[in-house]
Amino acid sequence: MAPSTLTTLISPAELSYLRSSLALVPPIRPDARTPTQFRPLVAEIDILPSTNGSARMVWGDGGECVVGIKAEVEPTEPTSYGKRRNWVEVGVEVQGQRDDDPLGVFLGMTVGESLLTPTSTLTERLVITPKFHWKLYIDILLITPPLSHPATLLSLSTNLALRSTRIPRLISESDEDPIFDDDWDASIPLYSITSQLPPITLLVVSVEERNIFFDPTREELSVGDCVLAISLASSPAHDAPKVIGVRTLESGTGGIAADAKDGVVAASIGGVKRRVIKRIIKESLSVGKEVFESLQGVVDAN
Amino acid sequence: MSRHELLSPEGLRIDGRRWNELRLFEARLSTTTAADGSSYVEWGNTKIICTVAGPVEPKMGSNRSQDGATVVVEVCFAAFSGNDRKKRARGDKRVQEMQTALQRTFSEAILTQLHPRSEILITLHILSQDGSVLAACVNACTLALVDAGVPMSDYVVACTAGSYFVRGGNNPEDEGEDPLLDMNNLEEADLPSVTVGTIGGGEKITLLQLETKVRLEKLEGMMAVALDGCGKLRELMDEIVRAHGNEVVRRIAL
Amino acid sequence: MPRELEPSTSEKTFVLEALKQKLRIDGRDFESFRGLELSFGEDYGLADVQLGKTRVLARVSAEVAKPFSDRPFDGIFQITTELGPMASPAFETGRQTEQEVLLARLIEKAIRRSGAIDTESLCIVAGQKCWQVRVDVHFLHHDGGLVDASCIAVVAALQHFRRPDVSVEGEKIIIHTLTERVPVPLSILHVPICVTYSFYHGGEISLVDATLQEEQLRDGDMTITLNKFGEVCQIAKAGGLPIGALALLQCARVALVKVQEITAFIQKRLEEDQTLRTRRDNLLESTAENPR
Repeated sequence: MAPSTLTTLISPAELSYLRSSLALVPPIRPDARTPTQFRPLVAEIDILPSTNGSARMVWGDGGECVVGIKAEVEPTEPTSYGKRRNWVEVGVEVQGQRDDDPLGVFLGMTVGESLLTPTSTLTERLVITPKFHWKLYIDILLITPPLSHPATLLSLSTNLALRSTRIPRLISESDEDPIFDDDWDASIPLYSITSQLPPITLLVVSVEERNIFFDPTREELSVGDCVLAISLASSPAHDAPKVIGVRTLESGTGGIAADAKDGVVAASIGGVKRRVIKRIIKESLSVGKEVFESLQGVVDAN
Repeated sequence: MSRHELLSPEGLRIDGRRWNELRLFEARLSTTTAADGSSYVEWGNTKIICTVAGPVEPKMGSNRSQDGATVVVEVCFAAFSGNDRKKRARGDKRVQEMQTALQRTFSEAILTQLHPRSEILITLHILSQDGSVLAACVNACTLALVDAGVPMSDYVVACTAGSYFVRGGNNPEDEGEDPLLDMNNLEEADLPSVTVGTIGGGEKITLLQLETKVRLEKLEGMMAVALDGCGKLRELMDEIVRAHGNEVVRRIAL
Repeated sequence: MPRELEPSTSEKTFVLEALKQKLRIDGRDFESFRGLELSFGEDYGLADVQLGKTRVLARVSAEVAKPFSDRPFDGIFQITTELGPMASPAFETGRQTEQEVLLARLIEKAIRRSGAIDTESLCIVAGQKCWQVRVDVHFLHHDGGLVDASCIAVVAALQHFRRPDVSVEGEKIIIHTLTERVPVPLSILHVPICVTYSFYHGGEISLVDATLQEEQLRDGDMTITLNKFGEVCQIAKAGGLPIGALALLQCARVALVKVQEITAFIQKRLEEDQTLRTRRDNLLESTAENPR
């Protein structure tokens, strides 16, 4: 069976069945998970010895993501501060697709932009001397893309990889050409315990007014009213994370209604109410906190 | 890195091996559940993921052949796999050459006549390069094909060997060339090396690649050492496959 | 994409049966090359090779350029091989077929990677100016043995080529024209020659220098590149029929003999061309008398 694309073909009967079970109070998910429960996944860091940082995650549906981070020294152009966005380059490679595939580009941008928000201090830590800086190359490899949207997988893997990234320690004076310590044990982690952690993106689906689901499967994505990708950043004090971005994704129904006939449940028209969005964001904060804690657990275990 | 250090006078190489020792070869099958067959090979620091899809209906009509299945190989070097970060273009000639070599090697070993008008798609992701990349790709492909249940006549095993020039020093009789088994990155950069691929670890060679200059007399020694390495690897791979098979049976039985 | 005409079943049976009886269609024995013809052009650096019916042209040119930033002490040496419809209707310009990629890689490994040319001698001013030597190979007719023929053409052209002499005065570089100062040959470290073997009947039969028909019917092939000193520059056996190691080594030994013959042949031709040139260039000193 060849790896499938993101379009799914589901019959109206199946759609109706899914929607009615998800619209119940309390909802019943096809795999009997609770609304905030994630599928079992595998996460490991520091798997590639030739990189500055690396991570690998296997998602619940079998999709695999390997992220490798390399840092290279680059001379700093004495121009405006705005050029610092070029200091982080994200490349996404999805198996079986061209390099300029829109999905790859979109995913790369999602990850890249959420790293370079105005509040992130990442670029400050990349400065070596006034004349040189580190250029961070984040290369993401998606193997057999999951049958659901890979945004969460990507962001969580990138988060872990960044957390495991170490930069060689500088031993030269600030005016000279930079020379680094050869001892890898003396290297400095890119994200120390006091710096703001790299953001994550969570995919959330809402059905009707009250039901909100995390880690949606492909079927749940097709019957949801509203699909949001919420980017969250956590501060070092480990209090509630903050929302740094909300993106809407195409949901299966897209607000187009089918006439309710013979007990076939129809989807709602025209998007969702404001309070639903508010509720979604509120729930994401608590789930996001749990996700950050489990990521911390992975990092600590190494 | 001076050549002197690649083989110390005591007979130890940079990573502590002797001339005829293989690096640690570890592999896992069925690592990617979504693919028909998959494998993950770690040979020293060379790490490769291989997935197999097939036999499936060919997407391109030109791949549909009455005589047998068409084998299509795709190799992707991850940008972080080498020492420097390098994003390779898709049409890179070296990558295409590797793809052709793998495709022809496996077309020979797979019993393609059992699946006419279909295609077997092999995808390799190279996560980390530390020498013997082509040989590791061959081994990863074999394991993934076994996992996918594609019929083959035997394991296709590949190994590398190199030649280290020993300087005579005081005694001119000591001078000569020592073959080395299983080259890593540092050794491949400095020394000539040959990649040998066999079907079944026997004497018959299906893949032979030499890209650096070496004297003809030394070639025989290198090839013999590589063939010996192939034999050892075949046993290792067979053990891995059997262990995996037992595990699968055990899980089904539970 | 037009495909090559495949040999008919009766052709195939005939050729393969004949091989079993140790006969080749053109009457050669299994280890001979076809008739090799080599001629040079008026200008330096043009070689025209005819291997049987296969005809390949190689042209060397040099110009001053900036060296690569990661190799400031080396010149640039490039070989381009493009198969076009002139060689055979099966080829298309612009589309890189598998065969073309393999051919380009083989020539590159054999000549460029093995260091046939000393690129350091091409440096003029380190980091700023160097010679960029470029070899363009044109395929005029394809009747098998493209790799062998193009390799011979390239090495012959490289040995034949003369680049303008250069004098450096501080930062200024003066390139002397060909008439002002005697042009300088390239610094050739060794002469690699490719020999392609074709295998049939499960590896029992191996042929040197297959014609197009024999190429289409072969079960496996191997290209081995050696120089006359007995150094193997590259071996490429990309899959195909499995052959015993001893048989392959025997092929390599036979190839060495062939390579030595061909190298001597190229050398002879180069010397003949050189005497022709000196006689022609010294025309100014010759007389206007008619031969008696």
